Formats: sequence, structure tokens, C-alpha cells
Amino acid sequence: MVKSFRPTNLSEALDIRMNNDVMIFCGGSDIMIKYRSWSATPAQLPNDVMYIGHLKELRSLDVNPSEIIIGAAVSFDQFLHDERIASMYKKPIEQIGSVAIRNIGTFAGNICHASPAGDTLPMLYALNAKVVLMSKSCKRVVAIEDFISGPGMTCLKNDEILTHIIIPNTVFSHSFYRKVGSRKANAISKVSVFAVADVVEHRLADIRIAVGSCGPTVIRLKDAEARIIGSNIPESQQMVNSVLRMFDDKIVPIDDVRSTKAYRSNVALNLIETFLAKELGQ
Amino acid sequence: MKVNFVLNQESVSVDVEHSSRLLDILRDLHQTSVKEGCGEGECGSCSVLLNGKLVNSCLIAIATVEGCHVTTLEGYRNTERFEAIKRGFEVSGGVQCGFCTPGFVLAAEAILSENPDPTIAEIRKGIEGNLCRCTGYQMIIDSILSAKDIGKGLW
Amino acid sequence: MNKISESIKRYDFEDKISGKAIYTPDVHPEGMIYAKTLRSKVPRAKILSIQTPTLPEGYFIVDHNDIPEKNVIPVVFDDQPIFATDEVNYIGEPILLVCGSEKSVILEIMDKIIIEYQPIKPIVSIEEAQSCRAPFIFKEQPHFVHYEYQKGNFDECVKRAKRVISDEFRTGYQEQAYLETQSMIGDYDGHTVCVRGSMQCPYYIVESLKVALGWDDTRIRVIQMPTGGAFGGKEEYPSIPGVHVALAAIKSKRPVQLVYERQEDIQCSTKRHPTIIRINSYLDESDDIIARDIEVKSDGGAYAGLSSVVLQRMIFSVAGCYNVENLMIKGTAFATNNVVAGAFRGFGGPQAFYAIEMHMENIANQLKTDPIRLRKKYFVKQGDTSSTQGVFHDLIVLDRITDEVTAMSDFFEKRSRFKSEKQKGIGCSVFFHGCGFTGAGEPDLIKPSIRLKKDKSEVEIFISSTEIGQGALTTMRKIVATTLDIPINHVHHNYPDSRDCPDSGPTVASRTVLIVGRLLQDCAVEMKKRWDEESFEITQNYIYPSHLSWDNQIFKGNAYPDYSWGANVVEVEIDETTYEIDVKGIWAVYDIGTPIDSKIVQGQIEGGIVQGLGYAMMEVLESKDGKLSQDTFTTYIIPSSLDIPPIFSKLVENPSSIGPFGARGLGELPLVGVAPALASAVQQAIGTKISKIPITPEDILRGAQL
Repeated sequence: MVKSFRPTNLSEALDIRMNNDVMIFCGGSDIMIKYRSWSATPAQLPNDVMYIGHLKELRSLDVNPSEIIIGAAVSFDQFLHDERIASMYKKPIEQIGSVAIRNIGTFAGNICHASPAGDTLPMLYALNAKVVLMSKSCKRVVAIEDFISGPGMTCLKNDEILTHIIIPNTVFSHSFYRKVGSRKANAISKVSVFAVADVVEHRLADIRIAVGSCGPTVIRLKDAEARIIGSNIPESQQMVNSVLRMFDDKIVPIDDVRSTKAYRSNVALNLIETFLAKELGQ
Repeated sequence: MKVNFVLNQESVSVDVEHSSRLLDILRDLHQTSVKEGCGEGECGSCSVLLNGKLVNSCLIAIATVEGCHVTTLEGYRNTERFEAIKRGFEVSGGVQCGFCTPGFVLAAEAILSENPDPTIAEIRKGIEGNLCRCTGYQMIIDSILSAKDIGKGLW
Repeated sequence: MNKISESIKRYDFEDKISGKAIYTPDVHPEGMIYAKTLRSKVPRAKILSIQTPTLPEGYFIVDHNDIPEKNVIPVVFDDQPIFATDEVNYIGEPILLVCGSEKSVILEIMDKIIIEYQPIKPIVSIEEAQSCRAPFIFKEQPHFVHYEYQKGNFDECVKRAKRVISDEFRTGYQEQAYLETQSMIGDYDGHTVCVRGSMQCPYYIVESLKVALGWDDTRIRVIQMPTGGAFGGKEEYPSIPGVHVALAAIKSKRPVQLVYERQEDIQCSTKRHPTIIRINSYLDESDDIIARDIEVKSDGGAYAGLSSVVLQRMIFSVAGCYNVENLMIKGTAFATNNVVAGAFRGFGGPQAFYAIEMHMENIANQLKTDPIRLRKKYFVKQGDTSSTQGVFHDLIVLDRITDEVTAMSDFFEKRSRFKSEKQKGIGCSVFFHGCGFTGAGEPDLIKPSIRLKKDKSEVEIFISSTEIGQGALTTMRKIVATTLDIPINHVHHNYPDSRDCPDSGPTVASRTVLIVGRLLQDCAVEMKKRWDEESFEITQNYIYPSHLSWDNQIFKGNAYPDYSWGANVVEVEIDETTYEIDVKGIWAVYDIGTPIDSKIVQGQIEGGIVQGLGYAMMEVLESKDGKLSQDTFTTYIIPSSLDIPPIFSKLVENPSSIGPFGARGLGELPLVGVAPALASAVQQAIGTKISKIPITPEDILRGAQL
């Protein structure tokens, strides 16, 4: 019989987390699918579970000029309805699952599930997002690319809860997001690219490109970005090609039930090229 | 685990395994309009309103429903808004085998309560998580368009 | 518009919209227990032993030992067992049931059952079946059936042909994906067993119960419940859970519920047959097509099921709408250790028309003529004979249908313009669907019978046709009410109960309105003559129209009692970055005779077209080593509301001479023509020949010359 905990506040949650081996249940969609059993039987959870989706401290969504701070229990729907948040940050979220999925799903859950196809992840990587990990004794802030170490793997310690996600609230002149799934709604991503750039007086002041579903984790090549920062816009085809070559070397998509290696890598490069050669020129 | 919630405006208390699916608890409480089509959050046949928001009840652990308001078609069908949606589906032919229908009715309510005058694109997006194998969707979209006109002022 | 075509409120509307409609999983009779099926995890093996744990009180197993009479599910051949005995032939084959009152306990018991298999090398493709040797899956041969038939003077034409155009096409599996999974409830009162459930054909289950139990009609009762979609997937398959649940109810004397999980349903229930179809057309010196030879191969899976009947429809349809008088047509349904293939809307038609229509497109391209002009040259007309030499007695309006669809879609202008606009394409297809059972199946196999009962001002319909979403509970009433000229609310029709409904045949083959509806109309005409009598019943039996004939030995004559016709145009644009197919529009024109209800007809058209769209480009279903790779709704992708293109449809009214009020069949036709029209459009857009479906962006990348 699996034990369950329903703390009344975050402090209590951290106590429970420290003293028990519990699985954290926030929105729970991924958990309920993974551990589902025969109809009309409860989900067969492998260890004790702690529900945190109701905790008020985790439901706050703060937006200030420098940061967007998303509580772990903030649903995608809540995020999408917040008018303070720029629409470029909403693009990937609007395409997650369906209305019903977005009403329950959370950034925290998507991050901790750490699927190579996680829909929030390319944007979070591109924007240099950080996660706040709290335990009874300490609080640490970890960059997203250091937090996720592989498919389904994070560096969350057994006594920690991911409480907030911090996204620097940077302004960019250009943004780009494209997710390719097997259908237009409610589809797991076959390949996705999230990119932002800041073009100031025809020069590229900043650029971030992140590719999803083409490797065990999101792929972002800071050296490719550094290569073209400072260059003139529109980019020369040579410049674009050299960035594409760097990505081609590093992305490692696979063949699976949804798609093929060849398709993923071809389309990822096409999408990056579209951003660099077409979008930035405008 | 004891869980207290409000089902169609009546207080309910259940004592069940915490990871029981809301879908199963509701069907045990005679809400048979809530259907199981896939058990994996893809088809929307199990859609209910949780605090007014459309959710897949097959993905909701009952432990998270404490203190919440749940609406199923058994409750919703007593409302004036339902009558407008019903008339919309009638004139536009949006029902065939009927299995997905309860989910679509609640999805329609979710769309119209967010925006009483949705565009076709907004309606399509609002029902993106409800699968129908019989109609090909167009007549369901027409039904919701009809409902919004018939029920003008209700949302 | 014919008065009967005017749409009325559906009779099942109120219950379904309010959530009051009770489907099988919603029923919980007192004392009900649950059953779960233990299935083979391997594609082919001998079962050496089955070890079951000690069962707690009240829990029991049902297996082949519990079958009183014959361990056979009768379909066409008797090769499929109810429960496996000493061998299994596909992943998902049922071995036994575990039954009891607590699901968690049933699961625990199932976890402890140990089956010792001795694997046998499985046959997992048509190619492997063709070259396989003993041990065979079915009898002592690699196939279930092999058919051949000819027309005209094929060999002579081949000799004088100047050129051959050849193609080979492949079509994939498709899953019906009805929203309500297979569901049954069995009850036994000590004398009669009653099976209620989700089904298309109550009498198929009655027959299966008779074979399994050896009991007569008085002890067997089957009742259809509101059914959440079927599309052929609940034609022959439900006999399996139906008999399973009956055996469990008989053994326990308690009501037993058997409802499949979605993944289980996809893995083990019947699928659309994959095919390889090769067509050679022989042209003379004027580039006229003078002969064709066609070979159809299908993957029937592990048991014969309906593979022979599906193959027949394939070979009777594959010559298409064309009057090429010299034909050599062959078909083989192979036995493999893949999932059993069976009925799915179209029933071989979608595969056959994919092949012939893509082949015609190819000929048009090679002859540098436009695809419509090429087709029109060969369209069959009234008085011509079909590929099986059956006379087309009715007026055929293919020219009109084709002209309408090309006008609606601006086909010629776009076809020409897209030659120089990259990534854009437009394609067409022209097709038919034979309505009613193949050949003389109606009088010889089904022998449909219906009954009407008058009680003062009320009339009740007794037929075995099932409401599966297609509106049967409404259309049948309309036919009777209109014929009797009484208000429709005086006509009653319930979900069929074998206790009081005669066998009017299965709800399949687009026959419900055409055959059963016509019987009701004829019966109502008789009833009208006697309307002054207060209460009486009339039974009406089917009479095979005298102008039709069929020789089942040589496949000669009228392959179907009637035909419905159609044409589709599909326009696409390929995304040059992602290779995704953006369908800009689907145009459809159909001759289904007189529509019995315009909204019901529209619903069938749009629903069928979207299923055809899924078949053509989204519903990838692959089998590797006997295991389906896409077996959940997350991996098996059916269209959502965001995937549907604009659909424009129109009817051309050309009344049937044998259907009620001039109506023909409709249910399957709309699915049949979409895939070749879409594939031809994609072909134009990417400049590469396409020879398979489904076509995915990954395929387009592989073949693209973008």
C-alpha cells in the first residue's frame, strides 16, 4: 500500500521530502499515464507520493522587468492567461497537448519529466532559464541545462523540491518557434526549434537557438551562437551554412516510433535556416 | 484517503486510494456520462470541468480534487446554457454514435465561458483535445457556432 | 429535394446529447463480476504448459475446457478458436479469462500465471508467406484463399499490345479507433444465456454462441446496446468477447463484464488488410488500354476471418470505373502471424481504388494526357458489364459526377498552374462502392427477413440492423413512416434483441438502407393495404431481383446488387521546411441515389472523408515481428479538429431502381476515394511517384525533389 502525503504548506512539504522517500506529484499528468493500470483501478505508483499541486506558495506567477518567476504548481493555462507575459514565450506553451492538458500541466512537471521531447524545454534552454531547488536546509538555483542530465534524468536530490522556474525577462526583436508533430493537436514533438535574436541597427546583438527532440536533451550550441553574434543582418549564406554545419555535427536524433533520424535532422536544420536566413532578414 | 469535493453543486465525500482516477470515482458516483475512451489523456471522452476548467478526468488523481468543484454532464444538463448547446448540436447534426458527445458538450461550455463569441479557429482549438471518429468534426464545429448564436447572452 | 431527404431530429439524439445513453461499460447489474483476457505475448508458438496459481474464493478461470461444444469462432472458415489450446498464432490471441469481483485481485492472479511457450518461426509479412514452407498456419498452404477470374480475351490482347504500363502499390494497416472499446456483458439465468454489448451484428454472435455451446435459439439471446462507433471493427470481431463473456457467465451464474483497454483493443482486434497490388495495363498502337492484369495480395493475419470476403471485394473493385473488356485478375489472402485483419469501412475498396486510381494517374502522366480525359474515355456506362460480366442495369452518371467535382474544385486550372508552382498539387479519383453483400450473398447466405407490427396507430420495426452512429434508428423509421404516410412518432424501433428481431442481416456492406430499408418499404406497402385491420404483423423476406445473377464458382455476374459512385479532388501544398502535407481542400461528389436524411448523409460523408484522410496520411500502423508498433492513442494518430481541411461535398441524384425511394448505400463510399486523390496531389507537388500509403512527411523527404 503506497503512502500519500498532502502537506498544508511548503515548509511541511520540505519536511516530508526530507524524511521520506516520496515521488513528487504536481499536476500529475505524466505520472498518471506512466503508472496507469486497468480501468477502475488506481494508478500503481511505485513509491510513496507527495501531492504539492495545491500549495499556495507554489502557485504564484511573478513578472517583473528582469524575471518571470513561475511557481511549480502554476498551470500552463495560468501562464497563457497572464497578460504581463510576452507572446513569444507563450508560443511553445500554446501547442502543448490540448486545452485539458494545459489546464493541469506545469512547467515543473515538464522539466522534471525531462523527456527529450519536452515542449517547454527548448524555450527554457534558449532563455537561460534556471530552476530553484529547495530542501529543508538549503536553496540552490541551477541552470536548466545543468539540471537535466539525460532522458528522464535530473539532478534533483532526494530531499529537494523544484519550487520555481526563473526565466530572465529579456526583450528580443525576433522570435521563432516551430514544433512538428504527427498531427496538429495533442502531439508529441518529433522535432522542434525555439530561437530568439536581438537585432540592433542591422547587427546581431544576441541570438539563441535551441533544438528539441534531436538528442537525449535539448541542444543549444553557445559556440555557434557566439560565432555569429556581432555579424551583419541579413546573414550571408556562408555564415548561415557554417552555423548549420555546427548543428549538423552536434544533433543526434534517433529513429523511433514517431519519426526518423534523417527527418529530424533535416527538418531541424531547415528550421534553423529558416530562422537565420528568412526571419532575421525581416 | 478521504477526499471532499463538490460534484454538480452537491457536497460529496469519498474514502478511496489517493491515486484513484477522478474518472473512476465519478463513474462510481453514477456519472456515467463521463466515458473512458483511452485512459491516456488523448481522446477527451472523459472530460469534466474542474473548478470550471476542462480536464481529462482519467489523468486526475482524486487526492488533487480536495475542495474542488467538479461538473459533469449530469449536472450541466440542468442549465440554460446546456439547452443552447443541445439545440446547436440538434440543428447542426453534431451527434452520431454519441460516445464522444458528453466530452464535446463540456468542451463547448469551456470555450463559450472563456469567450462567448469565438471564431471558427478558436472553436477548433478549444476542441483540439476531443477526438471524434464519426463526424469528421465539421458538424461539431457548426454545432458550437449554432450554440453561440442560439445562446446569445447566456455566456 | 425528395421529401424524405429533409432532415429530422435523430431518434437517439436526446439520450446521447444529455449523457443519458447507456453504453455497455455503464451497466452494472447486481452481482456483476469482471473478466480480463490473458493473451499470447508471442506471435507463434506451441503452448507447452500453463501454470495457474491457487485461486482465491470467487475467482476462476475460463478456457477452452469450458466450451461445451466446439472451440470455434465461425466466420467463413472454422479455423479460429475461441481460446487457444496448444498453439498460438498471433500476439494478442486469447488464451483464457480470469474472472472475479475485484479487479486488483484479477491482476494479481494474471501476474502469477506462467505460460511456457515453444516458439515457432513466425511468418510476418506477405513476402515471407509467399515463400514459406511447412509448418503452415492454415491447412497445408501459405494462403487462406486464392482467386482468379477473367473477362474477354486477355491473352490475345496481350499479344497485340504495343506497350505495357506497370505499377506496384502498397497499402498499410488501419485501426478503426472507435471511441468505445469492445465491450460485452454476459448473463445466465440457469437456462438462457444473454449477451449484451457493443456490436454491429447480433446474429453473428448468436451463431457463434450456438456453435460454441451447442444450444438452440431458445437458450440464446443477444441484445445490442448503444454502440460507441464500429466502422467494421465490430462486425465479426465481437463474437470473440461475446462468446468469452457468455462462457464466464454460464460458469459463474453471475453477470460478467468484459471491456477492453484501449491498448489491448488496438493490439488484438481486427485491422484493415495491408496489401500489395500490381497492375499491368496493355496499350495498343493508338495508346488505348486494351487489357489489364491485376494481382492483389493481402495480409490476412493469423486466422481466415473475413479475409476471403475482403479479397473478393478487392478483386471485384480493382478494375475500377473503367470498361476495359479484357481482364485477368488474381487475388491471394496470405496467412501470417500478424494480427488478424478483418472488416473496416470500405472492406477492400480503399486498397483496390488506391491502386487502380494511382495507376490511371500514372498512365495519364506517361501518355501526357489529363487524368480526367483519360478516365472519361473508359468510364462504364449503363448497359456495359462489370469486371465480372454483370450488366450495369441502372443509369451511371460518372461524367456528371466528374464534371461537378472538377468544376467545384477548379481542378483543371489548378492542375495546369501547379505544373510551375512548386510544392503544390491537385489530384483526383473516381470510384464506386458495391452495396449489399457480394454476389448472391443476400439470398444465399444472409436470407434477410424483417417484421413490421401494427398495433392500432402504432407501428414497430423489428430488424437486426444496429444503430452505430450512422442513423439507422432514424432512417428506417423515415422509410416506414413515409411509405405508410403516418406521423413518424408513431413508428417505433429499438436496439435489436434477437428474442424478437428476425435476422435482417449484419449492419455492414452499405446494405442497411438499400436492402433492409427496401424490405421495410415493401413490407410497409403491404401493411398499408391492410391498414384498416387493428393489429397484425407482417414478415417480409428478401427476394433476389430477377434481373441479377451470380455464379460463385467462376465469379461471373452481378458482383453487387447495386453500386454507389463518387469522385474526389484533393489539393495540397507541401511545406518546404517540414515536408508536412497541408491539405487545402477536399471536394467530393457522390451518387448515392436518394438521400434518406440530408444531415445524416452529410455526417457520413464528412466522417468517412476524414477517416480516408487519416488512412492516406496520418494513421501509420506498422507491424514488426508480429507486434504492432503503434498501439495507443498517443502513438496511433487519428485526425483531430485541427487536422481537418475544408471539405466541400455535393450529391448528384440518380435514383436507384432497387433501393427504397431510390436510395443506394452510403456508409463506406466516402472513405474509399480520398487516398488516391491525395496521393496524386502529393505526387504532382513533389514530382516523385508515390506508390504507398500512408504518406508521411518522412516519406516525402525520402522521395522529395523539392
